[in-house]
Amino acid sequence: MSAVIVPLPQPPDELDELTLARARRREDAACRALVLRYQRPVFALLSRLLANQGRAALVEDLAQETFLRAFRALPEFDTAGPARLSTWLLTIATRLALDELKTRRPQHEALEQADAVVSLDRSDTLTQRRQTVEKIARAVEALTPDQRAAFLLREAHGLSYEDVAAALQVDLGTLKSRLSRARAALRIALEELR
Amino acid sequence: MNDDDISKRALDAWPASEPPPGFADRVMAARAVSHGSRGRRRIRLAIAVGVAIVALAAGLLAQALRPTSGQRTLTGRETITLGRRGLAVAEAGTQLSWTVSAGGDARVEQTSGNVFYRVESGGPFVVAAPDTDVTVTGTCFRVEVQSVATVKENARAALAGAAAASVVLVTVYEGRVRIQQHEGAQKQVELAAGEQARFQPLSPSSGAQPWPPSQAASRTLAPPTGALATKASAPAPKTTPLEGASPAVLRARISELEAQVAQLSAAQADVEMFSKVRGFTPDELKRFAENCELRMGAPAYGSTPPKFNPEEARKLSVPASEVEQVNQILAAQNVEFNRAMRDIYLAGTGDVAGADQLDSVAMVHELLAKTSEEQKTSGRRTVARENAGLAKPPADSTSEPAITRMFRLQNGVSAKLEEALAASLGHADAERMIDALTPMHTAYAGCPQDKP
Repeated sequence: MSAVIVPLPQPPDELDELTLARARRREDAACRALVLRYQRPVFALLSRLLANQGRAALVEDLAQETFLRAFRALPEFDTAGPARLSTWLLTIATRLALDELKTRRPQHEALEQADAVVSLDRSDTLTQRRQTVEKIARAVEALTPDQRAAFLLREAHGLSYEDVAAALQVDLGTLKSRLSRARAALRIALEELR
Repeated sequence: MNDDDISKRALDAWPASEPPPGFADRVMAARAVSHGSRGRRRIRLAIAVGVAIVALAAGLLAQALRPTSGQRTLTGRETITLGRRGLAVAEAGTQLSWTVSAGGDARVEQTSGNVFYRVESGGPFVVAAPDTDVTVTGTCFRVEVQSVATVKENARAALAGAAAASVVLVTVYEGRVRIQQHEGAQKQVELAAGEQARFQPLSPSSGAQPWPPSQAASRTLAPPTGALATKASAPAPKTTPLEGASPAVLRARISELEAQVAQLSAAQADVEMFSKVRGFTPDELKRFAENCELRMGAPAYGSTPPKFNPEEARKLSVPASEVEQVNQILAAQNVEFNRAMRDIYLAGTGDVAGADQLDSVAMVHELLAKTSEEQKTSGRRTVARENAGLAKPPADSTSEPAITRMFRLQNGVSAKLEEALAASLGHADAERMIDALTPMHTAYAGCPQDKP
């Protein structure tokens, strides 16, 4: 059999094209499938952006708003364009979170997740982990929201530099500068643990 | 620490929340409310405009609730509305007539051609093809009434096609349909999404009794294998009383029997050959190249990713963990196939709406239906020659005709899957599993324009 030249595959973790087409036609089952498919990355991003900023309670609200906005704009989403649906959704979520961080006052619930993880444990390993989590949390707190978003979109969600820059509406140079500062802050925090 | 280490350790220590249970349901409820609230904001305006519209709407409603009927012979692709629930996208050469009752029940007569139907849920909706009724309640499907000439394109169908005037091919994309031949209400089958069946009309001239169509509900990338069994179950040849017959009559009868034996042997050889879709010898591949012939196996790729048949996995003693791995590979390859097929379909038709609406199985059929015989033959020849080592595939195939690219894509599905399996599970396991994972056998054959 001859070798077959096939275009680069759509990443297998993206919603299949038929379901996406149905979601664009506003079919309930397809819209629900879209939420189920992308809720984890959206929650992961929003919780990391918001939780240490005293806004953990808002994560679900903003996740919900992300999907509602996506459904409204979905008919205009260009399936033949370069943007992946996941990138598009994470961009919506990022902008919602950044707006939230810029416009509202935080509540006092910093480090609640880190504390929850370690509060019942006294073993050495988990004590070390607690220290790491606390250090990272403080380093993250010291980052600006834009730096946090840049780092998360690039490192946790694997977006290209171009996609992250587009999501944050900055040029590539600014983005790389933000990423560099975020990594430097996290490097210092991690090296202090040694 | 390099950047990767920093990212990994930082993210590991940076907690991320999981979605709470029921989140998707809450989003859907909020979406419904959102639609509702937007609707309420428009109420005042709607009331103002509504008064003027009511009279018009009442007139339109009355018109919509009246029984409607129509009749068309199409010279190009056309979308036809069938009452309030049905939509038909019919290709050139289609003959349709329809009657829709005031309640929305519909009966469509399709005597020829190729029609894609989308029907919303409701009362009875019947598409009547020659000798065959397709009844649906809410679904998306295609009915093709093919002439013998079209059917013969497929090698398997050619074995049986000579006897039939036309063949009805039903493909279901969503929902279910019930299919019933006119002679005998008890003779019916149901097809679900992703399934396809071929039906030969019960015309007296054919003499064929292909009901139930063997493997009627097989999931296929191309027309199913029903024709093979039709050949096997064909009625016994007519016999001539020989007692007291002259030597000339006896010799004629012997010749006739010898011809039938030769014909049946050839058919049987083809049947056996068709069950084999890989591991061909160089001589066989050369023969295929001369006959513009492709034979291939594939998983049931389409809108739903195929899975390793549990029964086959059990027979092959494949552990559950490996079955899961295989299913992941099948899902990834399914996405890849669908994407490649969509690109090819768009290149061949430029029909973006169709690409959004159809799954890859439908696209295969549509491209076959829209491509000229010359191009199909050329595509078969090109790929068959590549298989035989008589030509090389181009480095960039995008300028080739879509049908050639499609044949090459289908032709390579099995090898590509085996390669992915081998990379993950090793060559031995890949070889052991590939037959079970590629049950959809397809053949394209013939170089008709080469014949004098």
